[in-house]
Amino acid sequence: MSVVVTWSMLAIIGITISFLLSALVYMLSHIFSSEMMSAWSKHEIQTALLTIILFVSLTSLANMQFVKEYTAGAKNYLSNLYNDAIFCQVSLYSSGSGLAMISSITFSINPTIASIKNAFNVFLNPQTQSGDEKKSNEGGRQNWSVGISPASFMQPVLIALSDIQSYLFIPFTTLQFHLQLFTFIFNKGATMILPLGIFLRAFKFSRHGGNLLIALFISLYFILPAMYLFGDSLMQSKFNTTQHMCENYKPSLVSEFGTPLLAKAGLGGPESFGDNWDGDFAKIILPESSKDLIFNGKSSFTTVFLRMIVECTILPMFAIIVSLGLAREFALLLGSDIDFSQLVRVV
Amino acid sequence: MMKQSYILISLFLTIALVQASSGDVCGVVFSQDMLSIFFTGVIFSSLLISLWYMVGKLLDSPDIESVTKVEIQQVGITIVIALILSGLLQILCNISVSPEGIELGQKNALMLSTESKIKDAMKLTLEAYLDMSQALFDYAAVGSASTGFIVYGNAVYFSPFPVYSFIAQSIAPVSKMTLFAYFSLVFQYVLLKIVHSQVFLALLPIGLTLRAFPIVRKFGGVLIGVSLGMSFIYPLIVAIGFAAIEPLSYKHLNGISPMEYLLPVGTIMLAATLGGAVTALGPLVALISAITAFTSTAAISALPLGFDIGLGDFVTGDLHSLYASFGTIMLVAFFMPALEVLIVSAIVRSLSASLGTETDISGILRAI
Repeated sequence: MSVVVTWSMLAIIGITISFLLSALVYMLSHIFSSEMMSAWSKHEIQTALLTIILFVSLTSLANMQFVKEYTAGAKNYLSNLYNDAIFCQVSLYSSGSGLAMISSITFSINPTIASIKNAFNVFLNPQTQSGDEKKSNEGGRQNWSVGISPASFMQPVLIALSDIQSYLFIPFTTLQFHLQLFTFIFNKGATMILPLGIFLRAFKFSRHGGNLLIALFISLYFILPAMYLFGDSLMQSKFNTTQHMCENYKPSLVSEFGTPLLAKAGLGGPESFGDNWDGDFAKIILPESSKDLIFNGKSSFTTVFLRMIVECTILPMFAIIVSLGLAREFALLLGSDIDFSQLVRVV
Repeated sequence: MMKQSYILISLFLTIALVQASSGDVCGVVFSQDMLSIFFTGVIFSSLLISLWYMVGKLLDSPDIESVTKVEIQQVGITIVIALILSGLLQILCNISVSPEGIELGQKNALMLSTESKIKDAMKLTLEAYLDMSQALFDYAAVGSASTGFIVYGNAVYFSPFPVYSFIAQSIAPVSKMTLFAYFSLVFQYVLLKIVHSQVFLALLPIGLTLRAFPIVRKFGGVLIGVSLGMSFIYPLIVAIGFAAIEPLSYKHLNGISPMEYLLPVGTIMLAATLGGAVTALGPLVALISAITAFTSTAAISALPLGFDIGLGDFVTGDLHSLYASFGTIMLVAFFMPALEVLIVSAIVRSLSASLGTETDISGILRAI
């Protein structure tokens, strides 16, 4: 019959073994009259006591109601953000699809040389019949065609949209990765990562590894959700909380870029832009100040894109960088200098 | 002190001679030469120290005597390390890790289960890549469709399903990164195989042997730390990593069936062409046929735009599956291996510092 040692039990076993080993070394230090061994065992007992205090305090803190509430809030924020971002992407598909379809319309004239000759003959001499020429071109070997796509002026917008679409996988995958990391930390943090860290910290030969795990647990379990909530508060202070990222967005792509492009092509007049029009169409798209550009409260294409970059990529990355930076400080406090920069690069 | 150390050495040699017949460590059978080198090294080192102690006594030099006492103490510590390791490694190799905790499983359970979990992850990642590639192909094929009508040789063409080209563009980079993730897992698997090979494991007895000699003691400690960390702690940490994120929540993409979309377009194109061809029945019939074809195609093409009438949910479902699967793959193939290497390098640092000189092996992370 095999016995499963749970992770919490493992931590307690580790600390107990550490105490016993230290006691054994202390006894041996008296037998061998070794001051070095005596000092070592005293230091180990102190460390084991500190490890117990860490284990008890961190486990209690992780199980406190307010910690659970704010971590749940952070997870909700991330989930809502992800759903919003997907909604934005579908809206982009919708706009892009409409533009692409309009842009793809091609008119093609496919006359035969014989029919052109015939047309000339009819024009010059209305009485002339063209049956012989028709017969000479049977099989279509001399066919040629001329085609034109009248809505091709939409191509620049489509190319931009296509590029944006390609790069959008970064915020989406970043958000999904954060969601998965969040789930992993909150399902396994207090029950697996912390006890394993405590177990490794109990022994001198694996202390750095234990300190690394404890520092990671503190930073990812307590600091990371706080950073997400900070991001949420930052965005809420500038946007209407009930407003989704892509609300009222749908028609704006055409109006923001299509109308000025039409105007540039000479197909629209100043009246389309009201009093703002002075020949510089960029002024129509871009508000005057950068503050308005990002925080004008309207879901223009530009603001949607910028909000997606800020909220879905920069703020989560900032949260990770701050959390892992603090993890290094926590590790230093516990007695290990761990370089987390490699992990930040991977993230 | 000297007496106790010699008792320890004799005890060890007796145990070692009993165990010499089986050089099996975690399923890897050590060459008998390796064990012989280790035993010979310890005996030779003890003999040298004894000789030096005798010289100290002959010359009546307390300095030489104290140095030999420290040295024989170090040989004793090396033997204690070897004794502890011989038992500890057997336990470590038979551990099996689960989300609930650890238990003593079958023989070599640790390596066998770790390898099988990495293989499962590799298989799932490759399946995900192939799934994404198939979906990419389907969406791109339907997205590239073009239709229109021809009347008297003149035509109007358009692309009815450009939305699928956009979806294909979203899948393409994710699919590429999934392939990288697969190779990251392959790297992890190969690393696991290498560090558990007979040649790499031989570093452990070599390190123990070198630690018995004063001049190369620190280097021997580093070898013990690195081989223990990479050959035994690394598989254990990888197994714990897989236990932590089990089960892998991969979601298959629904994709689309190109034939479902292209067949109606093809039929309409045929109808339009036939309509244009049967001009003998009169231009009016051709025109009506062509216009009917155009409006039917336009109606089908309106579907991708109508996200609110159901297709949006279908596309969103696929996007959710795509990103959710890739999020899991990123966690398994990039984040966890990096974290595992970081933990192992921290343990190796402590181990090698305790046994010899502090060594940093976190450079392996760069490969990931």
